Amino acid sequence: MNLWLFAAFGLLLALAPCAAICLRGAAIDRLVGLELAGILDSLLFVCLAEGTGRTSFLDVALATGLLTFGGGLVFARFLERWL
Amino acid sequence: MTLANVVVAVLLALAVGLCVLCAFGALVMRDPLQRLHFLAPPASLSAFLVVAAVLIYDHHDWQAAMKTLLVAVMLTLINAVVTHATARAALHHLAARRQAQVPAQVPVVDLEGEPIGEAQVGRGERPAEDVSPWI
Repeated sequence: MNLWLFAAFGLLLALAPCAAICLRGAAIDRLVGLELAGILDSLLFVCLAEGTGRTSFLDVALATGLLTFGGGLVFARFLERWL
Repeated sequence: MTLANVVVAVLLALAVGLCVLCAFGALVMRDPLQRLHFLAPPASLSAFLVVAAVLIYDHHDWQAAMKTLLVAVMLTLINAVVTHATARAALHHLAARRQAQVPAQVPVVDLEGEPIGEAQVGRGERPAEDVSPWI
């Protein structure tokens, strides 16, 4: 275990409140939890990339960030127009 | 443990601590608009703290540093757009909920458009003065 893997573990713990937000409340509250989880996921993959020495995980972090953007916008638009 | 490792540990501890605090902060808030405030610190501050840690720890690998910087810049820019869109959707939801809860007297007209009385719409669960303009 190095510093980066400890940081990744800490970020993994921070995902638990996001899961709690996503599991209860109104749809818009769940969306906020999902967006926060996406941000934390990107940082988690950066820490994993440095901790394991596999820089290809940085591409996963980049892809996660982009998908969070697309998903967040689509969900927000859907909730605004249809629900 | 070298000085660089200590600095990296401090930067990572700050970044992770901020993320954990914001995650719990978002959990305890009642309103989606309040929850949205807790998205900004991980997306901006924590991301750049991690970039600084990568630059110090992995200073010989510029590709990794640049990719991490790209992730941080992307998170910062994207967060502003997504937060705005989500806040708009949340405001629509809250306004609709408020409209359904507050009783309102609307005029009732006959087929010729002449007023014949008033009717109450909305479920009437809360008095109008009890509802803030945002909820």
